[in-house]
Amino acid sequence: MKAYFYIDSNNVQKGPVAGERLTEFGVTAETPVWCDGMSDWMPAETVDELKPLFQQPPWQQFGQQQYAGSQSYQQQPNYGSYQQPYNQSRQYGYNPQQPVPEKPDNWLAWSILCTILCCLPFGVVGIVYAAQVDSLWNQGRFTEAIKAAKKAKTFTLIGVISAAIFLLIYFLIWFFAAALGIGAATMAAESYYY
Amino acid sequence: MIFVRFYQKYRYAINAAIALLAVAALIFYSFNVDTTQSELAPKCLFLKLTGFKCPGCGTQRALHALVHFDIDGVAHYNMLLFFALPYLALLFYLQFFGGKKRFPKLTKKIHSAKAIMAVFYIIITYWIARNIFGF
Repeated sequence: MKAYFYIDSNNVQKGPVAGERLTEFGVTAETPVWCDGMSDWMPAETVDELKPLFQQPPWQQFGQQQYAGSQSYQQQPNYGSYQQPYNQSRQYGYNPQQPVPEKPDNWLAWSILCTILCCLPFGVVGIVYAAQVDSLWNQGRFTEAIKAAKKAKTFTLIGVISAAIFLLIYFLIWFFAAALGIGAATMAAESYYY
Repeated sequence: MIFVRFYQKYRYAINAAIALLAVAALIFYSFNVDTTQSELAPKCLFLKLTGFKCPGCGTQRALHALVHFDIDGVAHYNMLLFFALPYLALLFYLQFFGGKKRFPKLTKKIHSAKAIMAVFYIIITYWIARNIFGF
C-alpha cells in the first residue's frame, strides 16, 4: 500500500502513514486522505486501495440489519462540512455512485501569463472561468467544473495563439522590411512610443 | 506511451528544465534587446487596435529595466509586475513543481474563487486606472 496523508479530528494534516496502518492512527471511513497520484483529498472509504480497511465483517453487517436505528445511521452518516460535495451533488444530478472524475486543471497560471504577455483581453476571461473551476468542484458540481475548466483553457489558448500569430506576422513584416531595405530608422522612431 | 511514462517519472526535472530555458531566454532577450527603443520588440496589439493600454503594456520595457536592476524603471513601465511576477512564480510552483501536494491547503486557498476574483479585480482596476491617469 502507498503512504497516505490524512486530516485528523483537529483539522491538522498528518502523515505520511502506510495505508494498512491508517486505522491505528484514528482514521475512519470519513477521514479525508490523500496520497501521491490523487488529484484531491477524498474520504478514506472512497479510495479503492483503502476500502478493505473499512468493510465490516459479515457478522456485524448481519447484526445491524436487525436494528432499524443503526441501519438508518448507516444510510445517512454525518459527514460534516468536509463531505458537503457528496450531499450537494444530488441536487445537481450527479450520481454519487459513479466514480468521481479527475479534478480538472483550472489553467490559472497560464491565463495570468496570457494577460500579462499577450496584450489581449482573452486572458482576463480565462481568469474569470478559472475562478469557478475549484469552487464548483468543491461543491460537487463536477460537470459544471469541467465545463468551466474547458472554457478557461479555450480562452487562454485563443489569447496565446492569436498573440503568436500576431508576433509571427510582425516578425515577417520586420524581416521583409529589413530585406527590402526600408528605412529602419522610421520604424524605430514610430516604435519608440509603444 | 513511453514518452508519457518518461515524463511522469522525471516530471519535475523536465518542468524545471523547460522553465529554466524559458526564463533564461526571457532574461537574454530583455538584457540584450533595448525594448524601449528597438524595432525588434513587438508592440502591444490591444494598444494598436484600440488606443487603450492593456494590463500587460510595458511588460517588455519593465523586464528590460528589471534585468538592469532599474526598479524605478519597472515602476514606471508596468507597476503590476511587482505583484504579478511573485504571484506567477507561486502559481507555477503549485501547479508544476509539486506545490499542490506539499501545500494542499495553500493551493486550495489560492485556487478558491475569492482569491482568483481578487486578482481579477486588481488587474481590472489597474487596467482602468492606467488609462485614466496615464501610468
